Amino acid sequence: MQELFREAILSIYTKYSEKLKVSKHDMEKYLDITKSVIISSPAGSGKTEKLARRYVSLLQGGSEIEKILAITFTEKAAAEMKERILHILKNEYPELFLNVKEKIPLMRISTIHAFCLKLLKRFSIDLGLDPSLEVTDDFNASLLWSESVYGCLMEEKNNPDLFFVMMRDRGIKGWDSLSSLLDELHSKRPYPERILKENHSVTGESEKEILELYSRCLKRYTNKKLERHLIDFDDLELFTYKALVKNPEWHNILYSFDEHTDHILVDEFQDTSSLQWKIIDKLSEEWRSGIGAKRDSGKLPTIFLVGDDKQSIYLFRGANVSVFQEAKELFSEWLGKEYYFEEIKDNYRSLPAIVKFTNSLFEKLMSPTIRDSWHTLYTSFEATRQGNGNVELILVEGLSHTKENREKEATMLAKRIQSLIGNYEIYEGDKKRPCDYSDIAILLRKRTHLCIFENALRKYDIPFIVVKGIGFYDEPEVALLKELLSFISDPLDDYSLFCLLRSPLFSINYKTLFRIIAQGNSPLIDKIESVKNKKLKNAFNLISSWIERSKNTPLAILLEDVLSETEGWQFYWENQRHANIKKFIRLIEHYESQGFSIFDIREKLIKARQGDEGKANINTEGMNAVKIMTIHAAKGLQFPMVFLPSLDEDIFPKSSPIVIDEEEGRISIAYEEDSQKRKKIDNFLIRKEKELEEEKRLFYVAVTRAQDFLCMLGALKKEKPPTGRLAYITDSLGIFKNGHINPETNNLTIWTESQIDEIYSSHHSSFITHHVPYKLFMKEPIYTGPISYEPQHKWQDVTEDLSIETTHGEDWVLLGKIFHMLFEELSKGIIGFNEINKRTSILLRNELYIKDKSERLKEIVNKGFEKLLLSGYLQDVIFPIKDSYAELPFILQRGNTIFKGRIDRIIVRGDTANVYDYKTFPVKEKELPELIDKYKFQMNIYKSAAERILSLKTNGYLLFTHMPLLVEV
Amino acid sequence: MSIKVFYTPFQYKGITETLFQLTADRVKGPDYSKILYIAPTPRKVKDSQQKFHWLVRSDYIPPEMLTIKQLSKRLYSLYGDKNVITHPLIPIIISQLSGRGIGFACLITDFINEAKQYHPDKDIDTLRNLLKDIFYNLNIPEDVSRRAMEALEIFKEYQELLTRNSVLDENDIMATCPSLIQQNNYSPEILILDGFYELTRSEEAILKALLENVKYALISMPYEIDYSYITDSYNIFIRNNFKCEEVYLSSEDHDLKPSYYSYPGKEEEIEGIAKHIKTSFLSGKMRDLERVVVTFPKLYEYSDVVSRIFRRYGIPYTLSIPEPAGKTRPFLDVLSLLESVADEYTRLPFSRFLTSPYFKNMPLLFRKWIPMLCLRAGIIKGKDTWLNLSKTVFSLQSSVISIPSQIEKELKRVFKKLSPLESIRNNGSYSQYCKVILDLLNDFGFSDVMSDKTDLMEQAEEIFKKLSFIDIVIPYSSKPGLNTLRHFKDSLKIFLNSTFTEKEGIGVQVMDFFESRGIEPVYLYFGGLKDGDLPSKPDIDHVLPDTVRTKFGLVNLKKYLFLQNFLFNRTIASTKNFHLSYPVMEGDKLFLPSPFLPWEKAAKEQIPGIFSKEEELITKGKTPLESYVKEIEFAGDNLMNKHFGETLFIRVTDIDAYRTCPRKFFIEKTLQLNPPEIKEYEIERMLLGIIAHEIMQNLLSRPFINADDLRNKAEILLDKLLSNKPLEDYWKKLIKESFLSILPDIFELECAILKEGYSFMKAEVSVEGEVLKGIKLRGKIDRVDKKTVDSEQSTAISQNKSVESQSSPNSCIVEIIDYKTGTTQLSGPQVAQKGATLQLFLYAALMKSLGYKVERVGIYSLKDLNISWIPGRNDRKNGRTIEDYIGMSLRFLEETVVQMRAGKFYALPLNEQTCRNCSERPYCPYIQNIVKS
Repeated sequence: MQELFREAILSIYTKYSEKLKVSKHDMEKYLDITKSVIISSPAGSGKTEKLARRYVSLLQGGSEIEKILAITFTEKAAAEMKERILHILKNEYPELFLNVKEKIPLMRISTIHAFCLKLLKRFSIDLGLDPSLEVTDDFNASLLWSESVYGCLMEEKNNPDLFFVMMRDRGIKGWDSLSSLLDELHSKRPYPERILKENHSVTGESEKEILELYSRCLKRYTNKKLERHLIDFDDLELFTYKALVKNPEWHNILYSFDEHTDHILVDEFQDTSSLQWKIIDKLSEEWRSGIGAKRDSGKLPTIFLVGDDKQSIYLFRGANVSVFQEAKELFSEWLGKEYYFEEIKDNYRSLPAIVKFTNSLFEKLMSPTIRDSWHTLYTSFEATRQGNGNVELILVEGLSHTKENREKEATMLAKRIQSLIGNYEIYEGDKKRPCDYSDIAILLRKRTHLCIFENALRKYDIPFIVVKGIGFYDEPEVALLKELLSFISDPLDDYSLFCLLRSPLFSINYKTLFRIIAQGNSPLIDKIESVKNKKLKNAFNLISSWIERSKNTPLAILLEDVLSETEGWQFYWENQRHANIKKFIRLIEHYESQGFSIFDIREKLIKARQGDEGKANINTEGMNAVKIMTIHAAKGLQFPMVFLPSLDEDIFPKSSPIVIDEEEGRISIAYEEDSQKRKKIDNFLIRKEKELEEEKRLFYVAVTRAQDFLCMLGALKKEKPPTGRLAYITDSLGIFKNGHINPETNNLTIWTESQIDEIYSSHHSSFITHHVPYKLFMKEPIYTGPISYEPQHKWQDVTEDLSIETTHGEDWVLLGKIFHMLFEELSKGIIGFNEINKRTSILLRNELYIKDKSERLKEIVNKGFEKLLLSGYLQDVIFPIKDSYAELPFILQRGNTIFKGRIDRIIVRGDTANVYDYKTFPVKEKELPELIDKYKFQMNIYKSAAERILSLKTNGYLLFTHMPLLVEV
Repeated sequence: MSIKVFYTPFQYKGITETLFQLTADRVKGPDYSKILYIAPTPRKVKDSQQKFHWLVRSDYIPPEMLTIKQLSKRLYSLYGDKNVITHPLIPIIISQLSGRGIGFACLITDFINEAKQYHPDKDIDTLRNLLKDIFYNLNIPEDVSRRAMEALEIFKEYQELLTRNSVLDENDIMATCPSLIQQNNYSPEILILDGFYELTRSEEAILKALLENVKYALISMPYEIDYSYITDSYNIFIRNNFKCEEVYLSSEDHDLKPSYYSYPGKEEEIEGIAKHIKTSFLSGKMRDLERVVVTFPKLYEYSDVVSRIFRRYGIPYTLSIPEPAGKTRPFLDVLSLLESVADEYTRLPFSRFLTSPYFKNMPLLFRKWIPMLCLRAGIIKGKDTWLNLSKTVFSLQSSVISIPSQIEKELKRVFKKLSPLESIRNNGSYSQYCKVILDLLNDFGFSDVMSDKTDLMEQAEEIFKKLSFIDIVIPYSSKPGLNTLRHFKDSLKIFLNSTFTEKEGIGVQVMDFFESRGIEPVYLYFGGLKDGDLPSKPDIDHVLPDTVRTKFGLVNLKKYLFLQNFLFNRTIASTKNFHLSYPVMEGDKLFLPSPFLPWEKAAKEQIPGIFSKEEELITKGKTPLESYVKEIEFAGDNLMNKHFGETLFIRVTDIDAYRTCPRKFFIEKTLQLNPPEIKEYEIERMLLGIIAHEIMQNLLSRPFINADDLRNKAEILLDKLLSNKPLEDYWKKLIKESFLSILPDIFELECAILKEGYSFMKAEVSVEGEVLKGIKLRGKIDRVDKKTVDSEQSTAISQNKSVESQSSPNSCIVEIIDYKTGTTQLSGPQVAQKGATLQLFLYAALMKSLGYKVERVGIYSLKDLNISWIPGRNDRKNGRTIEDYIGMSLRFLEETVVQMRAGKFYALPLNEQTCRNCSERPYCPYIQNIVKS
């Protein structure tokens, strides 16, 4: 996927930078850094390039890099923007580039959410948030939400209240209805929270009731997050806005922002939500006032907004297309001559045929006749590329079942692709070349029938790759690993075990499984254990070993091991499947590194199944394959040849019982369970219209991805009018006249099934089978075993003794430490005999926090010293003596092993060095032989070390200080 | 005193060996104890110990080799007498002292730490005045300086607290170190300062004290004109304080022009490194893996993936990143225990605790049963819910496996043990928490069952002992929130995350970039070089703005970034063989290379060969996975006879289930396998369904006079039915009132039925019979009403006998009703065209075979409070009768049973909606391979 984006960036850059440079006159205006600018820039007009060039102009004008804030729609877009800016600098302004390179870390190019997080962290203390706050993930947030709703419900346990009444009033399924209502409301954040906090008027009684209940749950949810120093994704914008407007410290925050920021640039402005706009608006409030510290110091702060309201396709995420229009009006009013607006008309992407088709279609679809702020007004653009291009519409005869239609359509699509490959010529720069599979993209509105298209392509031997295809968890390889983890976490999970056994890893057939499962009620794992079948026995042994290993092996490693031990990798060799497995393993690794337990992971995976996780990105570089993706995923991309199937698909949005909408700053909420009644309520009707309007925009985005060739497909049912987007075309372009296809439709070639069959047949013989080169390494040398390695040297510490606590308890670990310290200090003359008591008290005080214990241990130390004194060992061994060492470190090499340690005491007497090792724990006489044996190795090392280092004969002694007893070893 | 300073360019290799060589010439072996070697990091010290050994190559008394911090601790342990608090305790003390959260306390701790390191000689009042002046001169508003003044106040309180308690922190020990050196005349003969490039004031004071006492000193000093901004202060410190002999070393190596590799992702990057190492080792180019360093700017982001991939490629390695105890499984389980008690035993943390292998005294049956039960019982949280766990599951009859009865008893025991902690969870002192938790850990047998190398209990005792110390230094605070178990848990987490266990091992050394400072590996692999990670930006300083930090003598943003540049170039210059890389993407994130790398010069690397089992197996793959996705069929198997044979009765509901999707039917109904689901609130829902059916059956089986009478009867019945259900009173009350609230509508529906000439005949009617030759069906009809023309028939079916056993009811006309708690519509066309929802018509066929005349069938929705009848208005318009429906149903039945008996359980959904959330999707031929070639 990254390659796609890179290709897009580079091709846009190389193709259009020349033109952009040439037409400098046009550019000068939006590059005027004394003005704030809004650019309405249609698809293919180099929108993001313009933002990058504006950024460069600001740098050229002397702006400090850290004072330019650029907001992009995604994190990836932020990186791409950075790359594009640096690319321009490097190629066009090398000196400036060198200067900027040092400061790359200071560049502030991020999503609005990342910006908000930074701001919240910076001012966390002022905002009453913990500075260590983190953004929680969706799973954790949903757990907290669920607990909060439950908590609110349980609060009523002894005193039934609103929850009770509302559930009761909803009848037998009251809880179902209420809980899904609360969840739905919660999914519409930040709106419900804004209604509550910004005092928007709510008229309906049911709406008031629901909001009251929601507010209780939300309060609990907020507290839970605060307790855990968490915020969720929606909080980022909400808290930021609150911080800028309502917090007592808001002026400080704005002051600080102002001090650190001179310019704001926003990309994809059409997808901004009203809350995001409010934040940007607030941040730049003072700049527009014509006064302020910045202007006083001679700086002219600017805002640069670039977008295309025709490409606003994120209504479902809260994008408000009206914001674009609103911003234009406000800037004009606020800034007057310091504001410049430009509507770009040049299209650098598509050939004239595509541009003409787009203009003729959308001029009608987005006509200026209806004027609500959320209706899109189309302005036609002009092709700048030379050449013809091609726009086609393939109509298949509609059948009664959608699936059948899609199958027919997929077949037509595959046939059309095969007839084009190697025959149709596309432009590469100014030259033409025959197209190949990698030039083609199939853009789907929904993923519902993705499988049908995949299978048709397979059937016609067309290599393809699904880019950002969702349905990750429905992939067999991913599901299998998920079941494996589920089973490891719960060996009573028969379903997961069943899936594991029938998988290619074990290939147990259904008949065998049926026979086993049919035997009694015990868990499947127990049944398998008692079966005599060898294959099953092996399976049982393997599976049992995985359960055991899971206790101390990271799950990610275990998953890899499982696929190696069962040789399972060979079933998942296809690029996408292999990449999916890798993605899953990394996901598990990530969860584990965050401290999640296997139960957490199991539940995350259960919940994730209902989500829309995308399949793993795979590297398409050098891959001659058709790309399949959704229109949303294709935004910002371009392809030489684009196929848009399923135009007849229903585009009518599904309505839900609750709708929240924002109009001119007012947020309204409406609730109605009865879908029939909703059809008469304004709020629901307006929302539906907005969604239909967004469908048009989405279609615009799809059509404008094409550079040279656009092919659309749809099913036309007999005696029924066209539906969905197909109707957009037929109605707008007058394709049907008196129920028949009008062959004279401008800018569009219309094909029927039989025509496509004919074209396909005429080209069929020339097909070449294209296979993706999956096996790059087939004939390469194989070294799969582990490296056999022995280090040249091994270091070994010989002084540690871990067994004291287990044998004698923790007190003796501490006492051992104290005794050794006292012995060392005595031997080195740091303390004298009469200071032992005082020093013991200090050492014990520093080690112990329980006074009684300290006294008791002190007593033991004192008694120990008394005994040592009486026995004479204190005087003979421990007290300072000439030619002696205490706690002497040493290094001794024997063969490859290097021993290191510290010898408690060495006393040189004549030509002999006496080596002492203190054992301070209590010892019984009968334990002595065993202990002496145990410490023999250690003592031998000490003696060898002393002998080699001091070049003296050595004697070795163990001094059991508690007895006391000196034993020669 | 003689001091030699060696100015060393980046490319000069072997400076440590040079310094050792020079000292070895002056000291007669094997006693090198008179040498004191100081380096900036423990890793560098360890590396130098090895280098010294390679140089000496015999047995000896080694030099004292330490970092400055280690030296000061060592000296203090010998000559000091105060208690020393460990660093992780400081934020906890600050939090208690300031009454603020741990996050805030960590900020103040950092401030204190830096103030003590960079201004060890200044008291707090001096610092205050200094900062005030800086803020004033920089014209920074008072609002901003307020935080710094607040931090100083806390610093003051903290320092007073330490003094009152005769305690020092690690910074204080460093501050004390110079005087200890002087007082005790600590004077090694030879001092080596190696690898330093800049110092804090506190470090300077220690080195100054050492240098003043020493006879001979050797100092390595980095020397690169471009980086004098970094090294000047160290250089000036040495030159200003001491008279030195200067030696300028030179290197033959030329300027570096690093090339680097880009990989599609992190995984591929590490695979690339692993392959490079393996191929170099196998080719004999690389022999000593200990001299191979793999480093990353953010090792913690890479450590897991490196471990996994190096293991896969069989590369021995040592990950030198110390693992914080708070990230290890045993202590995460301890934190789960605390979270459970702090938050009313929420499902996930409590399950984790109950099944943890690190609590060996926990009953084994928990490990077996809890994972399954906690999901099936739909637990969210709450002690009572846990204690009713098996009852709840049992009442739903959702499990065919019998659940051991001891579970609840054992849970009770666990709760009893936890009660001391529960009793103080809102108000306990640190020592109370520590004691109670330690007792619990003892009770539950906290230990590492997998390894006898670590004594977890000893570790825990050490940690809790240190935490109890908080109560000694700081009096009990009554500030809200500071004495809760949650706050204690936060403190413990902070403490655990700063408690590290070092790992020793052999092979390739994998380490953090900052740790690799000063090491000269033979091979260096420097990965993860992406923009944002190198250089990284420092954490936000909430106390001092960057301009103030600069004036205050602390590391500012500019220096922080430049320092990384310095270290990066120094590191790659330290070896002749380096391999630099970065990942282009991770998930949906796109990365740019580090700005320290040449822009747009990334190369792509491909190493020929197959280096792991995984790669080998992948190349063996030939068949697409779709071919392993199989249909379920058992042609000619007698297993089918055992389940669906002619002599057996087939459940009526199974016919519909099979028709919905044969594959789904086989897995869910025949094998009774269902994937695990999170059944939060499901229990209440499912019980509600069961109860609703029971109520309807009982309530309407007796005649009622009017709506009031029906309500009275319903109330009595509801009380009776609900009394023995495992539900909390709240739910019971809700079910009762919900039902009573819909009773008027039920009354209306019943009146309508009566008006249409029907009266209740029987509920829960068991029927069975041979509806077609060789096809026996059985089932249970929710309700049968009779046409009131013949009242005698109403007694024909007795309470406990099946319809079949009744005397022949030839002239009895009936209607059949099925209760549903959801929205269900009976659609005539669906029945006729697709054979959907045959259940009621097959019941009708059964009743017919028993001699009844069925006039209509209906679904009674308790949710929508309506009844959907067939034949309905449209049927009457089209002249379609119930007989037509029965006939159609029997044809569908015959076809279905033939398929069932033939063992054909194909993936063939009647309606594609069925597939939407079907758990079989990943394994289903219909979904995975729709178009068959």
